[in-house]
Order: sequence, then C-alpha cells, then structure tokens
Amino acid sequence: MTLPYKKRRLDKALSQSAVHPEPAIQIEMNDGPAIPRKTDPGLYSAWKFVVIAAPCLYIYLATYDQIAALLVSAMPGLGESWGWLKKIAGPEYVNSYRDAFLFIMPDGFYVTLQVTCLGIGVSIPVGIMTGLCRVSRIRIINLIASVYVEVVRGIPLLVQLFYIYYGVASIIRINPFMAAIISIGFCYGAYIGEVVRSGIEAVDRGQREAAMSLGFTPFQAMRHVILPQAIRTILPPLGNECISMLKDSSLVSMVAIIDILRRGREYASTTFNYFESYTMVALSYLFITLILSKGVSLLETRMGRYERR
Amino acid sequence: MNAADPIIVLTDVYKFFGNFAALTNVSLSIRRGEKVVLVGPSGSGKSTLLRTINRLETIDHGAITVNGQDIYDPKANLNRLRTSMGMVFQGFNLFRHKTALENVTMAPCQVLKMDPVEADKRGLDLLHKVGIADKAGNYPAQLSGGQQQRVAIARALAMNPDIMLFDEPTSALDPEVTHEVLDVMSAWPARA
Ligand SMILES: Nc1ncnc2c1ncn2[C@@H]1O[C@H](COP(=O)(O)OP(=O)(O)O)[C@@H](O)[C@H]1O
Ligand SMILES: [Mg+2]
Repeated sequence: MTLPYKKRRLDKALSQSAVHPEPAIQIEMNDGPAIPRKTDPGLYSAWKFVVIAAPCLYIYLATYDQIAALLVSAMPGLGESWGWLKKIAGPEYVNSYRDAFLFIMPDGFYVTLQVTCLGIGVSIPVGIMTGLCRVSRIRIINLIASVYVEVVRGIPLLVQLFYIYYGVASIIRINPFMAAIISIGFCYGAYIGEVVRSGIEAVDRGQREAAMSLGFTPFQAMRHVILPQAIRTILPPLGNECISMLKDSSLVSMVAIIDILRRGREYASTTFNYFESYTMVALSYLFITLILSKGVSLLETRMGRYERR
Repeated sequence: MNAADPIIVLTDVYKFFGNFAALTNVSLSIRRGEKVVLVGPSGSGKSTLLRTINRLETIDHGAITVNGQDIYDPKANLNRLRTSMGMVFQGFNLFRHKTALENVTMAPCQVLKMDPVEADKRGLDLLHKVGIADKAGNYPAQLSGGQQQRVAIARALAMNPDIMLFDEPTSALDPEVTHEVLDVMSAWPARA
C-alpha cells in the first residue's frame, strides 16, 4: 500500500522532472542563476518568499495611512477603540514612506532604467565583439581584446566612472550622462565578453568541425552553428550581468545623475527621514530586480526548448 | 577526367601531436569509384588520417592531393574543396539546435545558396533514402544513435560530394542497425 502523501510527492516530482529536465552537464559560469533552480530548495523557497513579501511591503508602506483611513471610514468603531489607528488615518498624519516614494518615483525610476537600458545597449554589442575577439585565432586581435578585459576587470567601476567623468571629460567635452553610459557600457562589455567567450568555448568542437567539413566559412560556422548553441549557455549569466548592471547603475548617483539613489538621498537630506527614504530606495531596487529576474528565467526556459529529450 | 585517375593521393604523410607520431609515412592512392576501408586498432590513426584529407588536421610532412589539387597549397579554396568531400564523423556531430531535416538542408542553403523549398524537397528525399523521413522534425537529442548516424549520412550526401569519408560508421551502432547503415552506404552510387 502506498501512502497518498508519498504518491502525491512522487507524482509532483515526476511531473516536474518532465517539465524541467536538467541538462546532462551543467556549467555554472557565474554565482548562480537569477532565479534559483528548483533543485536548490532552500534558495528557491526564499526566492518565492521575497517575490511575494517585498512588493507587498513596498505597497503597504506607501499606502498604509490610506488603508487606515479606509478602515476607519468603513468601521468607525475601530477608530474609537484604537487611537493610534485614528491618528494614522487623520488628515494631519504624514506618511514619509509615501513621500519618499513619490519623490523618487517618476524621474528616479526613469533615469535608473534609462541608464541600465543604454548600458545594456552598449555593453552587449561590445561584449559580443570582445567575446568573438577572445576566441579569435588571430593573435593581435585576441591580444587587444584580452588586454581590454584585464584592464577593465582590474579597475573598480566607480573609479572608471570618475576617470571618465572627471578625468577624460576635462580633456574632451563629454556630458555627464554620456560619461556614465560609456563607463558602465565598457565595464560590463568586458564582463559580458568573458561570458560570451566561455559560452562559445562550451560548444563542442565537433560542431565547428562538422560545419567546416560541409564547406561553411568560419564566419558562417560561427553565425549559424556555434553562436545559436552558445546563446543557450550565455543567456542565464548574461541576464545576471544585466541585473548586476541595474544595481551598479546606482553608482552614477555619484556623478550628479538623478537616479533612484540620488533622489532618495536628496529626500533624506532635506527631510531627515533617513530610514524611510533608504527603505524605499532599497525596496525600489529589489522590486525592479525581481521583475527582471523573472524575465530572465522566462527567456531561459524558452531558449532551452530544443534540448528537451 | 579518366575514371581510373586517382582522386585522392597521399604521399609520405606524417602527422605529429607534440612528440607523438599519429601518422608516419602514409602513402596511398584512391581511384574514382573505389571504396576503401581502413582497418586498425583503436588509436592507430584512422580518424586522424580522414581528418587530414579534408584538412581538419594539418600535416607536418608529405602531400595530399584531392582531385588533382594540392590541399595544402595556401591558395587552395578550402571551402570548395570541403564541399566536394562529405564526412560522417565518429560521433556524428549533428547540429544540436536543428531538426534532422534542417541538419540536412542547412549546408545546401548556406553554402550552395540553394532555394530553401528546393532544399527541403531534396532533404526529405535523402532522409527517405536513409529510411528516417518520419523523423524529419526531431532534434538530434530525440534520435537514437543509429538514426543520428543516418541523418549524418544524409547531411553529407546533401552536398553531392565526389568523395565520402566515413569515420567508424558502425562503431556506435548495435548489430541489427549496423546492417541497415551499411546497406545505406553501399546503396550510394559508388564513388570513393
Ligand atoms: N588532438 C589530438 N591531440 C593529441 N593527440 C591526439 C589528438 N587526436 C588524436 N590523437 C592521438 O592520435 C592517435 C590516433 O587517434 P585516432 O586517429 O583518433 O585513432 P583511431 O581513429 O584510429 O582510433 C591516438 O593515439 C590519439 O591519442
Ligand atoms: Mg577514430
């Protein structure tokens, strides 16, 4: 006799393993996927918890006084017995969380997303070029790309940002926004280049040989055989790089670009509501990265389709 | 060209991997229409020899001519040359991101610039010949070893090669399938 509980668990395990077959060889090229795999139960349930809890907290903090007002107007008795509820619902009560949120909200979000998107727009082409050069057999091209990667990876992004914003901009005129995009784009271009390189190198050598034996040019082999297969390995770590970029875009607040963090700082220093302000800043970043990581994982499952056995 | 003319000629071929001599002093000559089987224990250099013939490996000494052309001539058009030689690899090396049919039609479309519709028709024809037309839409991961092998043969045949190089065509197969694959191979109008 099988226990129904065990049977349910078995069925669930079977159905999940059919939907999400683990690839035979799994190469972790980074500090883990954007969304933890179901095979890592601790991290996965933590992720689920955060996905639900963080947006709830975010919305709650921004609206709790309005919720209280609704409660009190719906049930006047509540306000009488709980004085603090009545106070929160009252017209003279100021919700600093919402104030901070509204201060950050339209422009700060917009600028952070803009910096990130443009940064991605610069760094992905740069990264693909760098990755291709790094696997090139032409020594000089390979050398140039390798030097670029080593130099950029050895310098903190903040220093690169200052170098271009204060250093280079003192010689040739660059507007602050351009300086930020250039330094983020080229910094992440180097990291993405390494991701692209390891993705290309993870494709079995036989694939290239088969293409060559059929008369493909090296370019055609790369374009039609190797890159389409490399994308699968590249995509998850690439998504992680984009999420890191979003977080690192907060560094541009150091060079007078008004992003989420900068707006939060301005709010905090004018109102002295440091706690409320930075809580909303932190939750704002968390909120966006959660959405992005969901997007990355959707992309990941779509790209993995042809591998299904 | 006379049918008796040699199509592949190897003279004094040496190939080293570091200090290890994989091929020493290999000379042979194969005529158009001939079928030649290389026999030797594992590690004796059979794969290496085949790979030197379409220049997937370079040689350290000697000369190889195919269709009268020295393939180590720096001016040789490698791509044209490889188009005239089909190779079926020991591990098949099917394109893993393409279906069986796409595996067969890809090279004709990309290299010979064949019309895709035409290529599909011919590809299906070839898959039919090797007996797996019903698996045309499957990805390599969804095919058994023998089926993959036959797709690999169809893929090589799709380029209409003058020469077919088979690397251990039956090593990955169980005995019954071996027979089928050998039938497919011998059914191909004998060339080389
Ligand atoms: N890329 C390589 N680097 C070093 N040694 C190799 C390489 N390829 C093949 N060899 C060696 O050359 C010998 C011949 O290999 P191979 O041609 O594959 O043998 P076969 O196909 O006859 O079994 C083997 O001993 C193998 O270890
Ligand atoms: Mg071999």
